[in-house]
Amino acid sequence: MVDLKHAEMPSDEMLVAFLDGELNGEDRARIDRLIKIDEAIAARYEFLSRSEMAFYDAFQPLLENAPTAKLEAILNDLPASITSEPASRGMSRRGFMAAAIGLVFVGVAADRGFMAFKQASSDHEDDWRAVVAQYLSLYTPDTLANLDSNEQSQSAQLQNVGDALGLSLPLRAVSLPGIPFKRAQVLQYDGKPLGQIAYLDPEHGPMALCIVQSSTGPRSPLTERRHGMNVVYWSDQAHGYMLIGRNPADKLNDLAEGVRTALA
Amino acid sequence: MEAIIASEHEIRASLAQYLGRLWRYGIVLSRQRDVADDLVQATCVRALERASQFMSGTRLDRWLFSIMHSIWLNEIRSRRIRMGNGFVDADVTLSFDGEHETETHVMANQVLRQVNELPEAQRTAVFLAYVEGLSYREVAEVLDVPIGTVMSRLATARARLAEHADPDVKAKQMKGGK
Repeated sequence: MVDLKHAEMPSDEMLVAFLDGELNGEDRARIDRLIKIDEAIAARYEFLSRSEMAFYDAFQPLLENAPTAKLEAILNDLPASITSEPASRGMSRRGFMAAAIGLVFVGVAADRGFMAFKQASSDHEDDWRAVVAQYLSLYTPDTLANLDSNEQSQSAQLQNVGDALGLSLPLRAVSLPGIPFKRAQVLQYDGKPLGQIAYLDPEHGPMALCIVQSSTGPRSPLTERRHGMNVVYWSDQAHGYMLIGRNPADKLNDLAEGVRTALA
Repeated sequence: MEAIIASEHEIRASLAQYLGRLWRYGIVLSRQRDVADDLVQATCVRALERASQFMSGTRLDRWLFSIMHSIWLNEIRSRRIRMGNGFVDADVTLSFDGEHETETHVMANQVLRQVNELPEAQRTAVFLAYVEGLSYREVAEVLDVPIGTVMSRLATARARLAEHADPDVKAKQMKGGK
């Protein structure tokens, strides 16, 4: 028979874990019982319990006082800093370089949906354009600057995209006059493939032609503005298209018309 | 290679919502605002670099905390100590202005002060477990130590906090954030 009056004192670790709800059933029951029957253990437990404080609430004001705008600016500046002047803090510089190198490697076929894409997904046929616009708004010229521009690999990328979407995408058809083609990749929207063909306009920065499968039927081009960019969108029997960039609307319309005709 | 860019954009899109909490952890680690700013920046850069290592389906905030912790430990703290720039001169960041010294603020400042006085290893464990609501296992992963070490840090911290606690003031509502 165990002498319950003089049960062995559990460690502070065990008592604190009990307090924190971190013990499994068996240990929890044992400590619970010991606290009830042994005064010394109960006293130690009571002592440790005094450390219970409103920790969560006490730290809330720090969150409210965080320099959010500044931190957001830091985050937003990261891609731009990759090739610009070295960051004043040495430790960041290495990171920027690595990030820059990471961006050089391309040809993305994302199996997993992007988080942003998922968040915005819904049944609305327009939503994919909102997501594409948001996504493209994160691009800077640096994002696309150092991509391999050999025609063979570009054609291979287009082949992949075309295969995923079930259409033919000759490099010639999706080339824009005076605006270098940079990359074609398959992304995913709402569980379905989304083709993104990226260009870098020397004057207006990143542009993209994006394509999804669509059953809405043929629609003539319309224009809209999203995230400070112009968008021309249209559809044919099986696909929806959008051309997006910071180019002026009329210029973008001309470019879209070229692509539309070439793909028809 | 292919997944890297996808993930990088995925991480980037999500990072924004964690900036405040990352900064706060930076304050808890360094107790200095400018260092907390640096820590957030370095953590963002590192997270984007390592986007491909993020395990889909796990919690991004935990992953970010662990990145920040390792940057702090391996790059910033060690450098500062080498520079002979200790932490005695922590600025006032672990408290907030008593413009309206409400009772809540007084209480909160007391808690902050006591946590602030804990040694770093205990302070971070207390913060992650009781403010951020991480489980012992998650704290162990962020700090990259065995779970037994987390238990002993929390037990030591609790004993120390209990010493200074007013036995009459048994706070009712304690930790949150689970």
